[in-house]
Amino acid sequence: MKREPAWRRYLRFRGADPAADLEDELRHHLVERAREYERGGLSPEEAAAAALDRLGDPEGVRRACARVARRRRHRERGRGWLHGVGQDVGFAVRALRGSPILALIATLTIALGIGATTTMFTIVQAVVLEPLPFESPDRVVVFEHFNRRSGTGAWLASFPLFLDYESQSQTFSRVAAWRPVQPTLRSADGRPPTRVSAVGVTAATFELLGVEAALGRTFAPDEEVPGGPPTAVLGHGFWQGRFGGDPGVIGRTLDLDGALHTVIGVLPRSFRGASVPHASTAIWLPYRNSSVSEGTDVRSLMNVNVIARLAEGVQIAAARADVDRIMTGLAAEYGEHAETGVRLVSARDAVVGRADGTMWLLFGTVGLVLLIAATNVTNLLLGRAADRAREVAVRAALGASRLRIVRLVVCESLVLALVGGALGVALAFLGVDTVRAIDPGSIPRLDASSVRPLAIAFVSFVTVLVAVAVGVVPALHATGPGHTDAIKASSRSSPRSRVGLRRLLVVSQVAVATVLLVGAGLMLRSLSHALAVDPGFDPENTLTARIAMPTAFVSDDWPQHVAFFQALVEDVGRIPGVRSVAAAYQGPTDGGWHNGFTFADRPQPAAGDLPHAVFRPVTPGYFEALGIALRSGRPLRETDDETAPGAVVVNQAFVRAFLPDREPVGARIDYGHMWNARPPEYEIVGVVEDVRFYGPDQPVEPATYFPHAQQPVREMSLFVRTADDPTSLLPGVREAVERLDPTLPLDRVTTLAALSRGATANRRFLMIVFATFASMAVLLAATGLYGVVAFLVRRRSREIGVRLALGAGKRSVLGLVVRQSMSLVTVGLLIGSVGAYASSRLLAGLLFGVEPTDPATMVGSMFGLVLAGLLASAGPAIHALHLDPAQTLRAD
Amino acid sequence: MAKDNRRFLQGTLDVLILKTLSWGPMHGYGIATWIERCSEAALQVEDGSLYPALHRMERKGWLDFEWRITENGRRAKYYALTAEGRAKLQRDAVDWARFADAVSRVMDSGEPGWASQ
Repeated sequence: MKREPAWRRYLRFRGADPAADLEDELRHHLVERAREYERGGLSPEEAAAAALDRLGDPEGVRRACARVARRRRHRERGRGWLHGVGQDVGFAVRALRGSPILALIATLTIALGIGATTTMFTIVQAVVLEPLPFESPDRVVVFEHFNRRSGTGAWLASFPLFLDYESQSQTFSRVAAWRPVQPTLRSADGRPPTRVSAVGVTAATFELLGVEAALGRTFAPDEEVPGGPPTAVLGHGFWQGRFGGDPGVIGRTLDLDGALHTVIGVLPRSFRGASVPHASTAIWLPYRNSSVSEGTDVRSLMNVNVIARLAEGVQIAAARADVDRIMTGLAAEYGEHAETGVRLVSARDAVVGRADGTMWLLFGTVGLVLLIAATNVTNLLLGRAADRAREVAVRAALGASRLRIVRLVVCESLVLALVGGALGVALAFLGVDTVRAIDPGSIPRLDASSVRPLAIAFVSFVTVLVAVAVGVVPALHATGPGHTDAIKASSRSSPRSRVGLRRLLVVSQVAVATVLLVGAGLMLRSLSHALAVDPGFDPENTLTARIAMPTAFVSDDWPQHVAFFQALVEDVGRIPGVRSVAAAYQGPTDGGWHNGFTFADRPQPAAGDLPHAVFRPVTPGYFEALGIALRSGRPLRETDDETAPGAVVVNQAFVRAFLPDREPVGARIDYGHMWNARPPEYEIVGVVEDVRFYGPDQPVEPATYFPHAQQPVREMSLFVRTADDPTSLLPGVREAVERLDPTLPLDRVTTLAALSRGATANRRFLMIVFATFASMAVLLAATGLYGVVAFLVRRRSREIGVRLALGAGKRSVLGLVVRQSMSLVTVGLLIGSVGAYASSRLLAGLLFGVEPTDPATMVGSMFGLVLAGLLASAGPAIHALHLDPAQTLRAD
Repeated sequence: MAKDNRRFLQGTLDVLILKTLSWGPMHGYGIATWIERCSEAALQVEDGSLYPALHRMERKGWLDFEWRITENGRRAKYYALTAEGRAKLQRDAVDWARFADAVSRVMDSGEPGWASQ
């Protein structure tokens, strides 16, 4: 039996070795046993053999003990991951409490990043991800009409056209038509009359959508066509709001525009929000058995929405071919459809439309902000890891496994991320409220966004992702090869590679911030360009309200309507403080209805070439009241009444489009085919300035202004120009309306300035969102830069101290620090500019009056970032100047 | 050897080890010789099963160990009772006494009662 060599015991300092331990233990046993036998008189050899013999099979003993050890390891690993996590978290919390400023900055940074991301995710969820509120929406298509030759246009259908689709199509299980209207609801119980949102639908609509009444029933086919008693179906929200959810509402009658409709059903609560038609509509009317039926016999009146559900097993391509076949047949039969093509658009695209791309763009943008935030926290923790390198190295030397140390550091980032994530959720609630408050109204379903479970799940996922992302790099660094050097090293120095990594992170932050700042700059320039465009009218000091005359459907009281608005304009004009007043069908900020026409002295064009222009009946004095300048000819006058020859005023765009090479005044247009036209022919009597109906950033459309007396419509908007605050005159205007007809509700009561602002609301919204994200990005990048520069100054404090001691000027020390930070900023800017250039294509569709690669914006953004960089390095620079050489040299 | 029997023996060895260690820390060889001496060589511990038993008991938390230098200058692994081990000994000692009592009562009994009728 060999004696155990003495040196072997030193191996044990490396840690426990169960196998070696067992050998030692057995060897000791055999030695003792052999000595016992020797004492009994055996020779040493015999004694050793006998001891071994008594032990039996040493291999068996080893195996048995190894089994025990294996079971032990297994068990310890089982709880190994979790064992001590509580301890680690406690340690992390204590450690973070020890550096509260770092913890605060890191938490706020994470909260900001997660809050912004969650806000945006919530909005994306509501706008883009949420399915439409009816059965298999992907099988429902919307008909969009366009000019086949030019490829332009996105028009509705006419009712006769819808009937053709319904009877001739072979690829749809159902085809339905709908049209939104705003009837006036009067009640017998003394409540003031109000205009409500309603939609006329054909009977197949509900079956097509797969929506069944929650109470009562929906329209039977014979209720939808004329002849039967008028009925109505209520939306769930309206039923709750107006009738308090009373089930007894079935069988009651509603007075809508003077016609009594019997309530036959209520739609389910789940059917709400944007849809085709809008699911939150208050009242659903039978299309041909209500006031909606106006104009259902006019083939050229394109005001009908057509939807269809693909039949079982039919692919969209087959449906397109089917519709093309129908259109070819109709083109031969009717001149109106000679050039008409049909696009079948999925219901989802029809509802979400262009918002889709914008939303994903914003989501990507906020993702970049989160990236910067996470980078920042990583950088902070890296700095902290550098400060703590010695502590970590000691722990590692004392036997903490690499896993344990990684876990410790990740625990810290996890605690930060969890607190930050919780704060972020709170921020998201605030953020979603804020976004909804500045909702421009042009983004579908934005109003329905609220932080929902999916968003919370998303936050949790992002939080853990952030925790791991920001924690692992510092953790691996702390335990990486060479970590033990930190014991020997002074705290002022740290491995080169780590500083390199931190610089890299700051450079990428600056780069991402550059991309966002350029984007925000482009949005800002687009908005300012849009605001600088002359709208063509004066929006200041003008009160506006919309009034619709009730019409029992199929009636002919146009003269009363004309007389009413004439009297109203006169009465309101007498109110003190009113400068001028006029009424018009739609205002200068509304798009609205286009009508086709022909020139009286020109040959009838091919049907597809029929010129069309914005249709706008106005009362005399409209151009004066709205400040729309007359360019030539005369304005419309009182004398242009129903007995006078037809007169029309056109805008300059009209002249450019249709009469470029002749004197416009005196030209005659033929409106003869229009369904409610009084005189068929109109002479152009004047030309006015262009008004940008669709907003300052949209193209100008040709427009025709008719005397209301000659082209009567039943809904008009009143425009009252006042000497000062227009809203102060509202009571007077209400009184004037009430004196003429106490049952008429005022609708869309606001100022023209507010409507005008609405035209740029979308752009303003995008600008605000981009600017918010960009400022976050710049702020975070500046914080990151500050952290690294401060760290570098600290690391080189001895060198700076020496320099100062040797008489270096303040300028050279400042230069040293600023050079450090500016070199990082410059590299970041260069990379960011390339990124901004590469991503400019994404923004192109959202810009107005500015190129995506606008040099001024680029330079401005760079200047902004350089400024932010200088500010960020000011603190560390000043610190460097005030370093006491004696102290820095004494340190360590 | 039947499985049940082995478990019985194993349990016996465990309680003997616990009892031995209740006098103080001891290494494996010491435990074996102590049991032999106390039983006046009636009980011979199988050296081959002693160490797996010690390791198993240590894993269960009844024993703790420490490397010490023996009186004759060798390094040996000393086992000691933990609080858990002490509690285990108390339970097992009671069980063992009951068991031994039951066995000896059976052994000491005369003819079964029904045979005397």
